[in-house]
Order: sequence, then structure tokens, then C-alpha cells
Amino acid sequence: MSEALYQDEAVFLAHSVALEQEATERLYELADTLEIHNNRSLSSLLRELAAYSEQHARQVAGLCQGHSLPGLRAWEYAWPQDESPEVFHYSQVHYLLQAEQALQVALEVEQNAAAFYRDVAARTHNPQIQRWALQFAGEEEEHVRKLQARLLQVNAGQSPRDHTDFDPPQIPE
Amino acid sequence: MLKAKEYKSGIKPIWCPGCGHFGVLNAITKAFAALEQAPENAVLVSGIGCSSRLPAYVNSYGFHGVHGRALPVATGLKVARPELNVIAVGGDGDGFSIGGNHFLHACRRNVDLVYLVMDNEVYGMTKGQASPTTPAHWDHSKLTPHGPQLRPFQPCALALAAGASFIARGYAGDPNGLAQMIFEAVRHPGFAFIQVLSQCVTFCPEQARWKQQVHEEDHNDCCDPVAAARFLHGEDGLAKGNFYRNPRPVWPPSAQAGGAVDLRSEFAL
Repeated sequence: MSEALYQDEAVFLAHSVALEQEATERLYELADTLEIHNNRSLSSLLRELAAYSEQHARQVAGLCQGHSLPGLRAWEYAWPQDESPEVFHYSQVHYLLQAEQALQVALEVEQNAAAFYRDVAARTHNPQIQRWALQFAGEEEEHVRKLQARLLQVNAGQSPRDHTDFDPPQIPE
Repeated sequence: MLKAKEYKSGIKPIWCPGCGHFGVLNAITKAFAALEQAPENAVLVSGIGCSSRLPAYVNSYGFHGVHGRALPVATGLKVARPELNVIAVGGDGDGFSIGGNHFLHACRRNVDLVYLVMDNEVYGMTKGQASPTTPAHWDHSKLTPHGPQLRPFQPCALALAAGASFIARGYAGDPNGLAQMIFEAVRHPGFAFIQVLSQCVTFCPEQARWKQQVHEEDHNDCCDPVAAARFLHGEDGLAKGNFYRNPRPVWPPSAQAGGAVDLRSEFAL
């Protein structure tokens, strides 16, 4: 499958669609969870980030018109790691998550996605795949710049944070 | 043909942010998509605990039952309705302590169902007490301030000794690999046990390190029980892979013919 990712347009597009859809779903999933845990401000920030991914997913889906995408099973994608590069790992988040940490995680996965597309662009011999991969890498890098700016704003507006948990999960027995 | 996300019920999980059970939920929905599973022909049966909430979050039939009793319910259902895909789910406390004896006999009986245990080595729902798989020196709970000081269960080795015909270990942080494991477990004729390392980042934040520690094991698809036992007694508990697969006759024998059990004739006075 990994060779097909670099040379077959439909396989490349299937990866791009999955990459954006999974990023969107993972962000919305965390936003829902944080809302349930009464962290509404962070939930709202994550919904904003998810909306960017969703918009990108729609753009990629638009490019797929006229292509018959292969129905890949979850484990048949040729991701560099276990999961799509634009999803954060579950163990990177927790119930004390703050905006700064969430933005750091989002920044990391956008950088991973950009690196993924740059790698495809470097390896492919198909000029159309190369054009798409460079375009998508550029878009991911634009997201990286936006997140870096957002992170600076968050850091500037806050005094050093106290991460003390005033309602720890361990109750006295 | 449904997409993975269409196998989610729309009920929002109340698990903690970062909980491994989200990965298991995603793996099940991805496996169902790959299996082209008709939602009306799948049943998830659970006991009690954080992980046992899972059936509510999946677009299929479900039964959130009694603590430790997922397997008896799942067994009865599969015997009565062999055409259904029955998946029992739960946690390490539910499966190995309260329901420990059911686990042993389900392995022995070899009814054609899947048992997924989301093992986070702790009772999360009741605020973090030691479970049968908690490390001996885990001292985070005030109930066991010096750790449980007991040797933790080795669920895969237990399953092998008790006669399970499919034994695997997955990781919630790798939902795609776990989806493949579930896909294969559903297709396996007989009792398929999957221990899933599913981190509880709230009560066991050190489990976030599983991302670096869990490793692939190339002992895949071993059908020799002696070799599998040797491997399972020597590994570190953080290997993932298919450890043992050796189909044998399922129970009840009538199920092998693929026919539904005529309960009326069996219980007629």
C-alpha cells in the first residue's frame, strides 16, 4: 500500500480524505468530552480547530470527484505511524488540559500532517500527486502559522499557571 | 455499507479526556465498517464499570448488564441466536475479579463470541482502587497505600490455560491495529479473547507512557499452546499482537452446523 500512496492518485486522495476526516472527528470527540466535563471554553476552542479541519476535509472531498476511491480498511492506510498523522494520541490529553497544552498538541499534529505531505511530494513520480501534496502541505503549514500565533496570544494573556488540581480524582477512602 | 463513524450511536461518551476507551470504541466501529456488519445483527454485552458503558455508544444492539456477568449473558445470547455477532466487553475488574470464574469457563466452553477486556489495571468508576491486574507496588490508592503487594493476573496466560482458541493483546492507542484484531476475532470460529491495554490517564497517569512502551510482537498466530505458554510467561505484559490461534470445536455442538437452537424442544415438559 505504501508504494500505491505515492503513485496512485485515488489511493493518495483516499489517504487525504481519511487524514482530514479523522482529525475532525478526533477534535470534535475531545470537544464533546470537555463539554461534558464542564470545560466549556476549551471545548469551544477545539470546535473552532475542528471546523478548520472540517473545511479542509470538504475541499479534499471536492477534489475526489471523478475519482473512484478505494475502500481501504482502517489498518490498510500507509501512515508513517499507527494512526493518521493529523490525529493527536489519546494519551496526550487529560482532564486538566488547558488551552496552551491543547494548542501545542494541535500544532504538533498539523506539523506532522505537513511533514507527511512534504514526504509524499518528495517521493512521488506522479506530477498530479506532487501538486496536490505540495498544495496540502502548504495549507497545513498555514494552519501551523495560525496556531503559533494563537499560542503566542494565549501565553501573553496569562500569568504563570497553577496546575494544582483542586478537585483531585482520588477520594479519601 | 456504513462508514465507521456511522456505527457510533450519537450518545456522547462520558469517559475522561484521554481515556483509552475512546480508542477501543473507534476500533470497534472501524472493525464493523470493515466487516460490513449489519447493526441489527451485532450485540455488545457488558458488565459494570467505565468500559462497560461502551454498548450505549455503538449503533447496534446492546446490553449493559450486571457486574462481572457480561459473559454469561453473551453466552446465552449466542447459544440462543447463533446468527448474531456477539461481543462481550468490560474492564479488568469486571472480567477478572467479579466475573473471573465466568472468564475461565467461557475460555473452556469455546462459544463462538468475542470478549474484549479494556485493561487499565484499576477500578476507575469507583475512583481508582487496585484491580486484579494492578502492579504489585502501585501505591496511588489510599486503600492500598503500599500497593496491593500481589502478583497481578496474566490474562492472556490464563486464557490459554483455560482453553481459549484465539488470544491477542491490543493497545487502545493504536485503534487501527486493534480494529484489525477485532475483525479477525469476529471471524474466528470460537471464543476469541482480546486484552486491550487501555490507559486510564486520570487514576494512572503513568500509563500515558504506554505509547512509548507498547511494542509489536512477532509471535503472531502461534497455534502451538506450549510455545504460546512459554512466550506468555516470559513477556513484559506490554507486547501487542496475536499470540495464539487454534480453532477447535465450538460449543454447543449444534452451533457448528450453523442452525439455531430450538429452545422450545430442549425445555419442553
